[in-house]
Amino acid sequence: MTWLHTWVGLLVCWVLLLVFFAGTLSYYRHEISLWNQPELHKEVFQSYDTTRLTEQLSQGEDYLRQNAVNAQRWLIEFPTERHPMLSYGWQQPPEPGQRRGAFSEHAVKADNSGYVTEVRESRGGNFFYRLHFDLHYISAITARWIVGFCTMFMLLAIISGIVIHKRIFKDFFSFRPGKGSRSWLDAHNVSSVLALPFHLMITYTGLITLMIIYMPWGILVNYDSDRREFINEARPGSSFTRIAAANEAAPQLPLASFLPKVQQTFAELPLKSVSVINPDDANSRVVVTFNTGEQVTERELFMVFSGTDGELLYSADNDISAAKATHDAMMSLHTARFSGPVLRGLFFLLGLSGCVMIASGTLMWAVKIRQKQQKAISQGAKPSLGLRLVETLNLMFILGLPLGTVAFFYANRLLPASLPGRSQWEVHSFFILLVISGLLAIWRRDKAMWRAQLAALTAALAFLPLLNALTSPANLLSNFAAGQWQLAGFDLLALAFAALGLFAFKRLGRLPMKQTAKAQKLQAVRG
Amino acid sequence: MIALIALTYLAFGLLAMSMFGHFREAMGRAPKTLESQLLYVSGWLTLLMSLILCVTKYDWGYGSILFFGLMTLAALPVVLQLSYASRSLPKTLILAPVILIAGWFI
Repeated sequence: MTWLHTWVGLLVCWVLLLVFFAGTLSYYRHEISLWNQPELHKEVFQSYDTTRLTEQLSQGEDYLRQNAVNAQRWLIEFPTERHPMLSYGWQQPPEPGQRRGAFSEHAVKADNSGYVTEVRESRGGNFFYRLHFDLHYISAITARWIVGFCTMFMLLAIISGIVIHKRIFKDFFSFRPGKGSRSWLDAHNVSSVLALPFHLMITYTGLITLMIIYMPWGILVNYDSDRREFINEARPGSSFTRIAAANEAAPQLPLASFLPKVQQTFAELPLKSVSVINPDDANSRVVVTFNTGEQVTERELFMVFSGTDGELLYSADNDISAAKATHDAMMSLHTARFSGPVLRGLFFLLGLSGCVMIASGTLMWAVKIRQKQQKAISQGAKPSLGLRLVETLNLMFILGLPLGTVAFFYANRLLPASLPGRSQWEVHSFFILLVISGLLAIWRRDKAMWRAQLAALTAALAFLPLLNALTSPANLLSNFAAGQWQLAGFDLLALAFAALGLFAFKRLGRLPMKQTAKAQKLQAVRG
Repeated sequence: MIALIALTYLAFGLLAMSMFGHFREAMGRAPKTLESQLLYVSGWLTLLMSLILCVTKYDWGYGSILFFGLMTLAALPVVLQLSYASRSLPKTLILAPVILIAGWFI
């Protein structure tokens, strides 16, 4: 069992670290996206106001009719907790060869004095969200198979880990720093056991989110190889929204006229968005989506109307089958969309502990193997290839991932807005830094290199709030004063991680190599 | 929320103190059997109370998820205190109920 745990863990741990790291950041996906669009840091923040819905809808309708000529879809998004602004967006029909048409979005100023129309092109938090299961530079399907394979290994590693850890309750609170590989084992145990329910849940539900890819046979057999039919049946509302345009102009009822019907059915729920598919066409559809707030669900609650005569075509049904409810609960546990600010912070913390678990596990392996080879190494022999490989990858992923992330944020603010393929260059910056970190690790991976990369990371993190202040109309203090917690929180987290980095840097400098367990654990916290 | 965090922290602190080794690190003497048993039982009861409060305040779905997150958050400082400043644990455990009550009324 120990053998199984070691090898299923070690084989895929770097991919898993990337997945855990990006997934953890994805809990703050919208917050990161907002930070990455400094044009929206001022004048647009507002909260949901039921009394202004009619006005906002008709204003949006007029605006889109004027500005979004020939659009395939309009999208009016109301302010929510994590998207604190009113915005009017539209999607153009796809160009030949494209799957989806270009999407534009204009945010309404809070005092209604105008619109913010020029926002830099950035993938924001969506990059990390996609990276977390689609990886990058390879096809999404290949990536999902790789991630699924590694996740299965993770599940095996967790279960075998529980079996071989005979002192779960006795060592529950035990962390003995400064004792070499013993401390690594403690760090690995504590980060695993304290968040064990989360690790099990997130790994298992991770497999569930993509189960149709991994195990399609049940569906293929029962639906005669027609996945679309299964999806239509599993998500009854979706077929109504996929209707093609009739290419025949037809007058559309004013959007505000749908409000009374909507409020009759779901009076207590705030609206999240109103979208119009095929606007001003005979086949126009009005889709009203609700904000389900803190309900533990992943389902989109929405109603579909015919835009020309106002007929109700579909209304979400709360009465769902047990299988669907189970699937829904698992999906929502994984994505945690329902979380309020505190629970979201806890999910982030749990995700970090997953990163520590993976990083401390692989660091422990390297420390142990180096100890074993210590005698030969001191007599002049080279460390084995396996050890060099593991040590290089450790440094590359444990410090390279946060370094790349910080580079992504710097690129977001420093690349010129007119650069073609701007959002892609932000992503490239992430990977460039990851590769630089790896190349440096191939060259040297001693304590000095760890410290050098750690110093770079710490400095870059510490200057992030300053960068924000210089390149955004708002800064940490003004966001703090205005109660803009999403933006202030971003800067504060950067500072907190910088403080951790500084602490780890100092520890690494003070202690001889053998006793750096504690400091290296702190580095792992960052990864 | 502050009250819930304090309560769960108290639960894990008591459970840690019910263990022979940790009690000795924190108090500088070995615990009596009765002390250990009392700490153990009160630790579990406090943890149960935290779960009940989570569920009554936030409903089963949200509350139980929150409870799991809180357990990790609350156990972490106990681990760090035992590693780096074990003598401080008894003091903060006395402080926890004060924060709990204050948090309850805020």
